[in-house]
Amino acid sequence: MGGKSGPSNNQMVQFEMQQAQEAKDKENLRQARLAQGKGAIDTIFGNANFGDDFYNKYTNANLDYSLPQLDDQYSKSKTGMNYDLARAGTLRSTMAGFAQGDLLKQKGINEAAIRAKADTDTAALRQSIASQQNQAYNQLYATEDPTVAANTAATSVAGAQLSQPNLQPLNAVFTPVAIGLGTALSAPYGQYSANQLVSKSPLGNGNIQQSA
Amino acid sequence: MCDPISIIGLAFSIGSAVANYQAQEDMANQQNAANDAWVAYQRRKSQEYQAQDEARRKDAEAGREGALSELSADKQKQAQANEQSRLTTALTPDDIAAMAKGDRLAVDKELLAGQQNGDQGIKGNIEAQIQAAAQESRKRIAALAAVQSYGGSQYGLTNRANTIFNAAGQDIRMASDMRQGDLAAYNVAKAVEPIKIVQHGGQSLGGIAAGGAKAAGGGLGNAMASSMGAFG
Repeated sequence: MGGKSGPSNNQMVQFEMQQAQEAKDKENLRQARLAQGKGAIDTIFGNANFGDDFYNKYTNANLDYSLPQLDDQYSKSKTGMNYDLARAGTLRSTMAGFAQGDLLKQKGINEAAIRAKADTDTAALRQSIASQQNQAYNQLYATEDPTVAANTAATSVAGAQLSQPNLQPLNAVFTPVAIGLGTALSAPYGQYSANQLVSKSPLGNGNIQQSA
Repeated sequence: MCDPISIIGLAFSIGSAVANYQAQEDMANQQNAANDAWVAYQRRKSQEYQAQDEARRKDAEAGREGALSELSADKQKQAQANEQSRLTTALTPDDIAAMAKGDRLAVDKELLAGQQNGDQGIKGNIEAQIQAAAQESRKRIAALAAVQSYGGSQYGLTNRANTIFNAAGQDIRMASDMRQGDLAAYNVAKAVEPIKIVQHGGQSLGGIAAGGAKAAGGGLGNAMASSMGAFG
C-alpha cells in the first residue's frame, strides 16, 4: 500500500523541486539580464557618449546666440561714446577714460551673466540626459517586473523636460555715461545770458543769435 | 475442537481483510493515477505559462531595446543635427537667406531711395554691408536653431526622447498587463489540487472483519476452555 503510493508522492515532490529549481534559474537569468541591461544603459549615457564635447556644443550654441547681441550693443555704445566724447571735445581726457572703463565694466558683468546663464542651461541639458537615463532604467525594471510597468508608463509621459534658455533678444544692457552735458548746454546758456544782458542795455532791444 | 461459528468467523475475518486490502490497493492505484495526472497537468500549465511569459517579456524587451537603440549617442547627435538643420531653414526668412547667399536682386531691394542709381562704388559698399548683415543674421539664427534643437522644438532632443520613451513604455505596459493576467490565470491553475481518492465502505469492511475476528476469538476461547476442563 505505502510502497505503491511512494513513487507517485516522490514524483510530486520531484516536480515541486523542479519548479523551485526552474524559479531559481529564471531568477538568475533575470538578474543577469538586469545587470547586462544596466551596463548597456550606463554605456549609452556615459561620459564616452554624452561627455563634455556634447554639452560644450550646446553651451557654445547658446553663447553664439547671446554674445553677439552683447557685442553688438557694446560696439554701438562704444561708437556712440566715441562720437559723444569727440563732440564734447573730451576724447583725450580723464572723462573719456572714466566712460571707457565704465562701458568695459558693464560689458564684463553682462558677459559674465550671459555665460552663467549658458552654464545653467547646460546643467539643465545634463539633467535632461540624466532623466533619460533614469527612464531607461525604469523601463528595464518594468520589462523584468510586470508589476512596475504601469507606474513607469504613467510617469514617463511627464518625461524629461529641458528648461528652455532665454531666447528673447537681449534688452539694452549698457547705460551710457552722460558725456559733454555741460559743453552741450553751454552754447544755449551763453545765448540766453547774452540776450538777458542785451535786454537790459540802455541801447535798446536786440537779440543775439548763436552763430552756426 | 473449534466450533463452527469460530471457523466461520475466522474465515469471514480473513475474507474481509483480503477484500479490505484489495480495496485499499485499488484506492492507492487510483490515487497514484490522480497524482500522476495532477503532476502532468501542473507541468503542462507551468510550461505553458513559462513560454507565454517569456514571449511577452521578449515583446516588452523588444520595445525597450528599440527605444534604447534610438537613444544611443550617435542617433541622438544625428537627430540633433537634423533638427538644427531643419530649424535653420525654418527660422531663416527667405530674403535673409537670399541676401546672405549674395542674391543681388534681394540685396538691392533693401537699398534706400536714391541709392539705386547712385555712385557704383558707394552702392557696392552698401550692398556689401547689407550682405554682411544678412550673413551675420543667418549665423545668429543658426545658433538659435542649434539651441532649440536640444530642447523643445518639434523634433528637438528632449521631445524626441520623450516620444520614444512613451512609445516603448506603452509596449512594455501592455506586455506587463498581459503577463499579470497570465500569472493570475496560472495561479488559479496552480491552486488546483490532486484528486483525493476516498475508500467508500472501507470502515464497514473493517468492522465486519473485526466482528468476524471477535466471533472467531470468542468461539476459540470457549473451545479452549472446554478442552482445559476436559483435561482437568
